[in-house]
Amino acid sequence: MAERGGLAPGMPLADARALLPGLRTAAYDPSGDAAALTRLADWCGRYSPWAAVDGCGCDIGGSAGILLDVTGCAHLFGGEAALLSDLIGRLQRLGFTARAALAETAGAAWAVARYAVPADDSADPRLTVLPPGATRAALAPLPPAALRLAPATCEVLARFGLRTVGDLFDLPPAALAPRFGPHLARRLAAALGGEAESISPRQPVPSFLVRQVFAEPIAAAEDIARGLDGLLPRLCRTLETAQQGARRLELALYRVDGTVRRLFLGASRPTRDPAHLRRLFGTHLEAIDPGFGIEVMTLSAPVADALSALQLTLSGAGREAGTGAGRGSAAADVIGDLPALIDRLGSRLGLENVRALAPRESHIPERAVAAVPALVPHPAWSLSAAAGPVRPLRLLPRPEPVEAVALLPDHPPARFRWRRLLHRIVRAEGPERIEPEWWIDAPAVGPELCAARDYFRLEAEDGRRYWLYRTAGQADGGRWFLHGLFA
Amino acid sequence: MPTMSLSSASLPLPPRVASPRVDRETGLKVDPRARPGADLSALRARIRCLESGTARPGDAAAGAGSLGTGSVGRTAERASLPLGAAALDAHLPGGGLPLGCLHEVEGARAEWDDASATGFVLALLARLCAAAPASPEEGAVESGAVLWITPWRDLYAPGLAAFGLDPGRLILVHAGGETDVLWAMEEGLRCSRLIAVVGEVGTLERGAGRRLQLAARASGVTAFTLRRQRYPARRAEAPSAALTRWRIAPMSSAPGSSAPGSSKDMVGRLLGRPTWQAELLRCRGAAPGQWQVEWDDATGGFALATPVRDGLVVAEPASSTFAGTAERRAG
Repeated sequence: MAERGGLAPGMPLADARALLPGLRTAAYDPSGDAAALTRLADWCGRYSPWAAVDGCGCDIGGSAGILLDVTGCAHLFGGEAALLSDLIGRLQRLGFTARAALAETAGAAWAVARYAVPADDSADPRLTVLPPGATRAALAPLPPAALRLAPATCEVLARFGLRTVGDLFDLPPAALAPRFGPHLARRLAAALGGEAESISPRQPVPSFLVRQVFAEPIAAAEDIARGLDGLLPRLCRTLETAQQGARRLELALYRVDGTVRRLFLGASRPTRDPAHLRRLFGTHLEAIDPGFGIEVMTLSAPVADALSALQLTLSGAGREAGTGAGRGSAAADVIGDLPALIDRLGSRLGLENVRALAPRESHIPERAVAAVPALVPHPAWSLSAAAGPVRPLRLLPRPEPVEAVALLPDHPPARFRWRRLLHRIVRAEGPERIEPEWWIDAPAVGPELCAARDYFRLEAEDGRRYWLYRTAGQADGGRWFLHGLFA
Repeated sequence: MPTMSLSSASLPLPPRVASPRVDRETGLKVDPRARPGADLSALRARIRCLESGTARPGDAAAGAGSLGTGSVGRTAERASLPLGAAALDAHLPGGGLPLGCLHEVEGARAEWDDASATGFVLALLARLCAAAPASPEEGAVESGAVLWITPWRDLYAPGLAAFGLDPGRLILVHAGGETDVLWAMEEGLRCSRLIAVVGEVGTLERGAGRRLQLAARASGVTAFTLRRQRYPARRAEAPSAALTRWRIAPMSSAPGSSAPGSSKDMVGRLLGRPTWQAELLRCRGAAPGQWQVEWDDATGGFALATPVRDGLVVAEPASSTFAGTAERRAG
């Protein structure tokens, strides 16, 4: 419309207004455009996971676009033409004016979508499907800019009288490169399929993916759950064939309004038990906002590990590695396996909050423990009583300063005040000198780990036991801190 | 506590020919052929069935073999864990702490800085774990793990070793709030491969306690709730569904090894073993009680504490072990 009125990119606004008095304008918002395009590319994941934003269009004068690799996907939509018309139709409903082309190579599709003049007899001028072998003929009448060339190169070509791509076909490639740079020859080869060109997808493409299309958009939580129930066994079968177990699951819900809601789950061990995975989704499903409805669901396992099949017993009661949630037993809700329990806890509280404790080689008390993922083998604790000095049961997250009075220097305190309560000490053990670890970087760990400490075990009148330390080797005699509590 | 070897023989009662004699005092029908001892044990078995919630007496009779003998058994409906101190074990029903149910432990101050109650729970766990050996797998927690659920982050693993508890057997769960703690406890109690589930809670509503108790009974996993809150509770709480409820207060410890000649100096007075005043506030099937116990790391069990005052052993006729010490002091 605007182009027919004589407008062109780069024209001053006053000139444009003069040509078309009723022109509607909007501020140029490159980041907003890019974000919208990115969302749209995600939305295109419903057709193929190989979706990428085609950024080069903006730089060289063409309009921006999205590249989709639909190899092996078209039959799901009833053929290539049906896929394209479905895509165009949905985009239009979302408010986008778009043109689509499907060709053997990404370069050809790019060119046809932007520059091809639709044939008069075609049903829909917005979409073009190039049959195999027709690429060369389709590209020939197009201008050289259709080869994704910089404007400067196009200008040089025009000066040489090369006004169509077909003109370039006749020239030997060896003659092109020295005159117009290697870029042109490469683009030409890519468009014709002589040079492989791959699309790097925006989202990582999972090896295991199943999808479900709904005839009508669904919104109710039960319907979403039912859709998931249908997808999970299919994914698990795929995983089983490949002898893999899912470590991460991604449920993507494509909403009617063109946005995608994603749900990620982690499992502590590779698993492909549908019942267990279903339980992991649990209440997360209800938290999903379906908007005006969900059209497509895909379930994928972006991260999977090897999980070999195990022989079930005849009664089916044998357990698969990493799974085995009370199947078929009378007590259906008794979890039989520890990994299943940890996954369930982790799915609600976060797997980083379900931890095992491993020793760490450090003398500094707060650094002596490492939280490691549960169920992963970790170094064992030395349990003999003579292994080291007694340590408190509770270690304060941060040593708290106390006012302590010691009768003599280097003696344990006779009393101390902590949180406004006075504790009189009747027994004491110590000091135990703990030196800072000189090999760790002081600014990284903070100043409190950089002073030597003299620890005392103290017992107050009422029997409570405390772990106090005094910073050693300081001019003011050191300050007192409460660091832990004993039983 | 007699063992239940007689109970299975007398229940159900065989059909009798002679008409039963009616006891004049109690009004109960008495089978003239049955021995009185057998009746008594049958009644005890019945009571135990009612207490443990088993429908059929046969179930309890099947599990009764482990009752009283002090062995830890998962198949038994109500196995129990002897605590090591004879006075406690004799007082508790079944000769020890009942397993597969909920126990509440609270400190004398239910505030968060009370480590005595924590120590008591750890001592119980250590005994539980000692009774159920860990899996041979190196390092990996497979079976015999303890799930410890807490909204706080101050449990210090090296301190657990003082109780003989392997910190590697602990799965530490950080739950955001009270609801999450209770939910995680219930989930944990469904997993029969755990030894115990410990939850640090602020308050325990009656309904929540009942849920935990039911879950614990279904799977046979023992549950402990450790009361910890930032501020002490204002009002008294309703009795919960827990089988036992303990209040643990710290006590001055008996002197360990004192350095000679420095008894007045506190530097020479070393800290003794962890000692608590353990108060059994309520217990199903037993009266409340109060003991002064200490944790003996060497034997891995509880022992009755020697009462001390001002750091010196106080003479007490009941304590025969330390009678010699008291006499020496008197002389």
